[in-house]
Amino acid sequence: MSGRRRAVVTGASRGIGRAVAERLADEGFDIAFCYRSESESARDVAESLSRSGARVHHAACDVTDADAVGAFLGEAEREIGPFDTLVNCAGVVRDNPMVRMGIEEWNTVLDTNLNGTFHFCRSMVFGLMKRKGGAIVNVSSVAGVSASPTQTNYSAAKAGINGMSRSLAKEVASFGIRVNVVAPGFIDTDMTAEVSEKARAKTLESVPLGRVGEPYEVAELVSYLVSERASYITGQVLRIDGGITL
Amino acid sequence: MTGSGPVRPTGSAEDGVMRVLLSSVPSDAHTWNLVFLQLALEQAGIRVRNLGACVPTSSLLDAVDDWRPDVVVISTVNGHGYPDGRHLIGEFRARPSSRSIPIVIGGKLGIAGASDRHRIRELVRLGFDAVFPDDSDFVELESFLRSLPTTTAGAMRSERGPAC
Repeated sequence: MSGRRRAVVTGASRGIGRAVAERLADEGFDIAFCYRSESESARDVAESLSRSGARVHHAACDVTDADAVGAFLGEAEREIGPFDTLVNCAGVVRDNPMVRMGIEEWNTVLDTNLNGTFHFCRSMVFGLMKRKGGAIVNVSSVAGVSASPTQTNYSAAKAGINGMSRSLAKEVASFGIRVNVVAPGFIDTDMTAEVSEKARAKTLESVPLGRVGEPYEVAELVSYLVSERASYITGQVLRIDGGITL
Repeated sequence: MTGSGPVRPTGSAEDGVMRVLLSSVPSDAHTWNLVFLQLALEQAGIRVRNLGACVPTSSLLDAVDDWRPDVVVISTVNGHGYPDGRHLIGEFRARPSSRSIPIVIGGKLGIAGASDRHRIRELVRLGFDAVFPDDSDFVELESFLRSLPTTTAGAMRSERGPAC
């Protein structure tokens, strides 16, 4: 890949998505990002990215709606140009023990985390194939590789992302496209801020590094994976979890 | 994607839609490259007949006579593109019915990438209108198709093009 690179980042109005978008902008990417509803926060992110010199396109987008995803990407490409990088960060949690889990809680998490990732991958991968190159990083979770009680919906969605990404990696490797997964552990974001102090302390007891991770640490790994420095890595699920799954 | 709107026919199409006959060579069993090309060509507004993998040269020539395509696109990825292409183009250009139809070949022409330049020149000399080595992308093929004359099937020659 040569020239200025262009990345799509989903769920970038906060948390890991925001950190990824800012990191890629710092590295010279132009960025298109979407968010669900946090438009004020999204404006902050857009201003931050612009200060790094990036061309920026941002809009609200319901990732569960395939048509909306197509429309977002079409508009983004018209404004910024063809993309070579996709980072799927959009995600939600609806925790509950399975015996109490409502169908809507199950479907919401699967629709956003797994189907949303599929919609973006499907919409973008053909363009990457025609241009013979690109990188996709899907943000999963350690909940997708090890047990996570009260998160059966989230675990299923994240494990689905892992499997989908491995298969896609093999489908498109001959086109010079790499697909990888980053599986964060306990990262300090709005999503994990909702965890009670007691649960937080208990979780930290099982983190060998003894602390929560920071979004910028995940962004660092994503930045590496989409770069040429990772040119021989594809189809991998890389855990970034302070050792919690050891 | 280069240009805009559907790629125009080179002359034989009655409905204004370019028709591409897509095929592999006899020794090549790969299909993913053909699926990709069919999708990409159709997205560009082209009508495609995909003959699939391991197509005997006689079957390809019969399909040309039967369908009268505007262009024939040969895609091969097994590393035998050069020898199979040499054999194919000889028969293709020897027949009056296919002598003037544009034909291109792309993909992995051999197993020693550095010598592709020689192979490209030789395949063009033998009668291919364009040769697209492995590092080409689809945009190059699309550009080539857009460059074809809209009333006569073409004499244009190129040494570069897309990923077949």
